[in-house]
Amino acid sequence: MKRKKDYKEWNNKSDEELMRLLQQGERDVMILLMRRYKERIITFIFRYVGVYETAVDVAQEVFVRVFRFCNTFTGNDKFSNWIFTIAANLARSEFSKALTRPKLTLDANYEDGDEERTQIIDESYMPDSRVDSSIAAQIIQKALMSLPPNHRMMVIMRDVQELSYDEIAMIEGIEVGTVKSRINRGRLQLQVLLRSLYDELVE
Amino acid sequence: MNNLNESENKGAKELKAKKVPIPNDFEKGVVVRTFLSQLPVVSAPPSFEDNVMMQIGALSEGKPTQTQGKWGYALASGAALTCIVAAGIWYFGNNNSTETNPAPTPIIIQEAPANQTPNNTSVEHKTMNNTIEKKNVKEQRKNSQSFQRKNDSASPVPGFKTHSTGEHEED
Repeated sequence: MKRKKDYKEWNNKSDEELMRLLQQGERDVMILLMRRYKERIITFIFRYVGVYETAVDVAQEVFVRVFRFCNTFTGNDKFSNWIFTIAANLARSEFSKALTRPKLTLDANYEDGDEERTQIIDESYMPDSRVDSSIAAQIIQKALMSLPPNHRMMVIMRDVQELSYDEIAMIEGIEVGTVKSRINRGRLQLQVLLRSLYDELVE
Repeated sequence: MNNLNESENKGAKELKAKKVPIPNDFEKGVVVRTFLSQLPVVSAPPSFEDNVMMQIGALSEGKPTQTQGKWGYALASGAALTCIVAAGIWYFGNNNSTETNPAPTPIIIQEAPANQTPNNTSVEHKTMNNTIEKKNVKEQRKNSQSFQRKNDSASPVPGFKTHSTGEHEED
């Protein structure tokens, strides 16, 4: 275990310097990196997938991958861009997996003459009141979830995580122009979806 | 000079007079962005860091140190590959030899009559060899059958025995 002195020393270091220490075998650096990024990463993934448990699982996997592939981090790029790239890729694959999962469940009901009953899962997004306690936040999250995945990802990166257009372009590996147009389209769709909230505010 | 100044002033006045067009949905756009930026931060569960560190600990047990580096990985993977290939060759080699050409065991050679001399004819040699080979095959089959019987209670995983149940012991 590391002494408190080491943690204090590491606290003043940048993310990139911490990554260099991790590459040299200082495993405990991961705790500091987690403290700096865990909430941002969980928030980012939650806003994209919409399920808290999934968001936490994927965020854990993100940090495990940071450790596993720390040697591939060259230091030419910002650490935040690198970790957001991992998070975006994992969130996207998790979301697509959830879409392809079978949507029918067989629920055995033994009371009604041992009949097996087919139950159809409600596909509409249910807001997580543990995370979004206010109704406004729940409505916004629901609106986000109804955006196309690509637009949603961009809008979350720009308007929730407040990343720059250049950073988003770097993370997604696409042109800045494409990022801007996707964000614009996403925002326009959100304006329509959030009309009720807007009208309430104006009144 | 005066003319230049006058023309500059004119240009500035014209720019002021021209209003920059504002999109109709400007206000809505601002409101939407404000909504999004005010979404609450999602907090991590208290066990988050511990879980990650446990997973990392499990990973790093099998991970080579920095000093080993890529060469360590290469050597380890090479050694594993050689082991697999050697095991495969040994397995298939053994199977083929038992089926086609069983080698005489030293015990049976001892059982052969001691007074056998090189004077015996080649025909006698052949018949003796044949009988020895047949005996060997039979014994090997017996051995393998008894080994299989013994291993009936063993688990499918080699090197691990299943615990016998109480019922079985009673029987």
